[in-house]
Amino acid sequence: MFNLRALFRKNRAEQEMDDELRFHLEKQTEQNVARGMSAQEARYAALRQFGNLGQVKEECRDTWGARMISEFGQDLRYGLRQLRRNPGFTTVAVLTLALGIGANTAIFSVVDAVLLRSLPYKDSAHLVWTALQNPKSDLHWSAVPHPTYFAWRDKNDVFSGIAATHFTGEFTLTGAGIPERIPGKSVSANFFSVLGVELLRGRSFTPEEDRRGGSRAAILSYGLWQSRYAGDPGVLGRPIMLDDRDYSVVGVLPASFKFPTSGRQPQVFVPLAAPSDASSAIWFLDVIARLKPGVTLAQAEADLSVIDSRTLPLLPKFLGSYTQEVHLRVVSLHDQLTGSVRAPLWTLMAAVAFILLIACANIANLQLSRGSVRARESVLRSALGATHSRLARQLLTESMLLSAMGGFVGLLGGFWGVGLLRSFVPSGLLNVQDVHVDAAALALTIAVSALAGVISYFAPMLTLFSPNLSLTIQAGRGQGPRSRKNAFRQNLLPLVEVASAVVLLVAAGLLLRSFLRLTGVSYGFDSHNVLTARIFLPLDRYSTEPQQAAFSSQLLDRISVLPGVRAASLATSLPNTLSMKVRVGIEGRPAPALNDPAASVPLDSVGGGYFRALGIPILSGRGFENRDGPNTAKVAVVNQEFVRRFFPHSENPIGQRILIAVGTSDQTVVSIIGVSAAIRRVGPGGNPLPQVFLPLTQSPSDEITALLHTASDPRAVVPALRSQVLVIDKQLPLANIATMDDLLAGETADQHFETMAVGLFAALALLLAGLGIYGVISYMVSQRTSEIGVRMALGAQSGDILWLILGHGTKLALIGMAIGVAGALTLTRFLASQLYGITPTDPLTFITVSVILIAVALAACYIPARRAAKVDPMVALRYE
Amino acid sequence: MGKSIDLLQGTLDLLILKTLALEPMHGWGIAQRIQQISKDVLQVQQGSLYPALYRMEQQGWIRAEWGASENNRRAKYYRLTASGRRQLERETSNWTRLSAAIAQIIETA
Repeated sequence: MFNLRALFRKNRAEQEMDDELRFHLEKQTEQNVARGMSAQEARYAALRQFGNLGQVKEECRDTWGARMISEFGQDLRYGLRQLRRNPGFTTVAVLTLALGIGANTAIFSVVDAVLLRSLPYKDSAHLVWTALQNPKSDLHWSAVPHPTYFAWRDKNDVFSGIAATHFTGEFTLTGAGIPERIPGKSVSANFFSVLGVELLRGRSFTPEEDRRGGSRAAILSYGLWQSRYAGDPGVLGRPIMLDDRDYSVVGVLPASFKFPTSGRQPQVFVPLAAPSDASSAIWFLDVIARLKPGVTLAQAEADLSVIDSRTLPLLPKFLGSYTQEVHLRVVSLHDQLTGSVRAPLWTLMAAVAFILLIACANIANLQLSRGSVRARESVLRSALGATHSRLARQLLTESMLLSAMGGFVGLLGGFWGVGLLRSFVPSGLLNVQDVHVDAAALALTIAVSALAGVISYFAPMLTLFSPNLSLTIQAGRGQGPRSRKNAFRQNLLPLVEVASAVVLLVAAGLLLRSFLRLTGVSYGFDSHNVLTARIFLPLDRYSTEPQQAAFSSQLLDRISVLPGVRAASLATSLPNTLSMKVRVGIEGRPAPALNDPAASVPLDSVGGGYFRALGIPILSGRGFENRDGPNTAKVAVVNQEFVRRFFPHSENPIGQRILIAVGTSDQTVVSIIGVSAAIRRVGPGGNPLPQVFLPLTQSPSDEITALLHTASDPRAVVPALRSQVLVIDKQLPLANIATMDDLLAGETADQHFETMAVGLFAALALLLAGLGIYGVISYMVSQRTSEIGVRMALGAQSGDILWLILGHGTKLALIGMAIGVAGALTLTRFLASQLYGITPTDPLTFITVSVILIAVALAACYIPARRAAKVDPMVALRYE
Repeated sequence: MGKSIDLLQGTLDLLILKTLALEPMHGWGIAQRIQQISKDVLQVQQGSLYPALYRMEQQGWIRAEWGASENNRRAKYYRLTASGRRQLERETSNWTRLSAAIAQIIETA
């Protein structure tokens, strides 16, 4: 816009130069004619006398560019001087802009990496995710049954390649070194070629390997190759033991490879080798395909539907009904991987853009508050010959200077903010590790800074050219007419700011208090200093219950006496996770109905010492002891919630007999020997559930978790625990090693992020509100300087003046606060579902927010108020 | 018409400023005036007049505005600004010192 104008100006200047020179030549010609030359002669003579016309024009033109540059230089120097002369204004303005710009840079970096950047695959725009969606189910995306995948693979006309992967979970890696559980996936032979990924070493699977009974091949991730084989190039062809089976390494993936998943990155890949016979067990697969050029998502969907309608009758009966209930969807792989975060991220982006807008409005307001000074200066300069456009350019230069400084500081803040965000954004996203301030974010920062400069330039521009300007000057003291309307407009912005700050602060305060309640809540057990680790017994070697029971009791004996361990036990699941549910009934009562949800109760097998290790009190009876062996009477411990549900008439539960898995062939009968306190299950908000505990000696399991309550740092006993497991079975790895405290913290991670984000916005809003009040009060002080001078001359003390100004600011803050509180009361209801343990109208939060806001408002007023109190009446009055 | 002398470097600015100190004037008028007053001794290179005017305008010594000429034609008039007046004083005193010094050398040497 600016360049176009310069161009236009230059054309006009060119025109004027031509006019001027033509006038000169005509005058000279006239003179020559007057001296007696013929018209023709006179004209030539004039041109001769003038000299080289083209060269003269060129010399004249040269001065224009130099003028633009030198004027810009003057503006820049003048602007810098202005900013240096008002360090308070400059600091406040630069910081305000830096906050707005920095927040935009940081959030945009995340949006850019996660949403805008294409996936790290060749030609990734053509990659799609095909899935079956069940509109009735909460699980929107379900995998594809393997016969459907085969039908699509063999009959479609829309894909240049279609590949599948199966959720495999983890493998036990044994062989060299200590055994380990590593995440793995089985993939179809063409999986990597469909993604367009070249292997770093070796090859992908062959179709022969991807067939039932084919030779077992494995591909390693770069990370596993480095950690297990020290990057040895001779790894190809080496054997690798996964789940006690021999595989041969055929390839290594490049370091840059990322598996298209939102979960943990798999480290080892094996062939899919899905059953080829449609009647055998059904496998559910994740299907990724590459569209042929020019094929749209809708066309692909239509094509696959036709295939489905033809092959559906061939599917097993139950699967037929399954696929009839679901809708086939073909979506871009990018959408599939980022779908869940798109809306929240754009919301965040809009929020920070809004904050920047408020920041600009603040700058404009601050500029206005200097307007009286600036107006006098403008009039002075235009009296000295500055044109309006020159003055406007000067203001723009100054505004741009300010926003450039803000942009620079904001960029530094952006770098810091991105680091902060990276640690809070859900880590499963594909590109999240690549979030950084890159060229795109840099470009955005520059663009946003320039925009901020232009936006905050308009307010002082309007005062410069307002019809009131002459009035302003006539008033001599630079006092604009103080109409009611003006005052209202001045006060509106800080009122809105204060009100929105109150709403945000209340929301942040409620979330924070809720979060503190959540994390401070008692789960009903002692999670402190508890180490947990999972052990999976391979069914090849631990196929019978006695084998499993023997392992459990051996392990328990060994870990109970480890140094530093106060109490140890084993359990089939952790107290914060879901356990298996079984249908139970009480002996002597009618069997519960098949679909009665009340009869479905979580059941865990636990080792002796379980209640002691987790500090769960036994309220009556006893816990499990050594005498509860495989050959003694079958016993159970129930929790208090179980007693409440099944023995509501305060019958004594001890000695009562429970039917477990009632109505099935596995039905067993156990006697209640004790009642434990109830603990919370699955998330801090969850209510205690009824629960049945059985001794591991009587109902063993192949999946057990070790729980070690230690005297000091629980992580210190990991090596000891591992070596005890290896003594019993040198092929067994430990998995999911974590402290109980960390596991519980993970449950509140989402709330943590939300609290942090809202808290950050609230802090920004508070700061902006403070700046808004500061701007208006400063303006008021500058307008009332002479009035204050008169008051002081008449005997007012500086204390009186201080209170006069503070009073105005406080009034402003109180009105804004009242609006904000009203707003918060209506809006916080929407937060209710996310709050825990407090009401959306929690008085303490509202009071705290009000106090903080008043404090900030007073602080913001104090600086201009003190300036007012220091007004020298003589100086103030001399201006009159 | 006597023999004309080429202008000394930098002298043109002084002459223009001095001419404009009397009244606002257009380019051709400035050239004529200098020639007349110097009795044709100083012949302004008409071509070099305009770049000088543009440069001085940029320095802020003179300001240009369009007006009507004697016989009602549109012409660009230059007038001295406050800073031009100061510049004129500076250059005049410089010139006086220079010519006095040169005169002294010529007389005594």
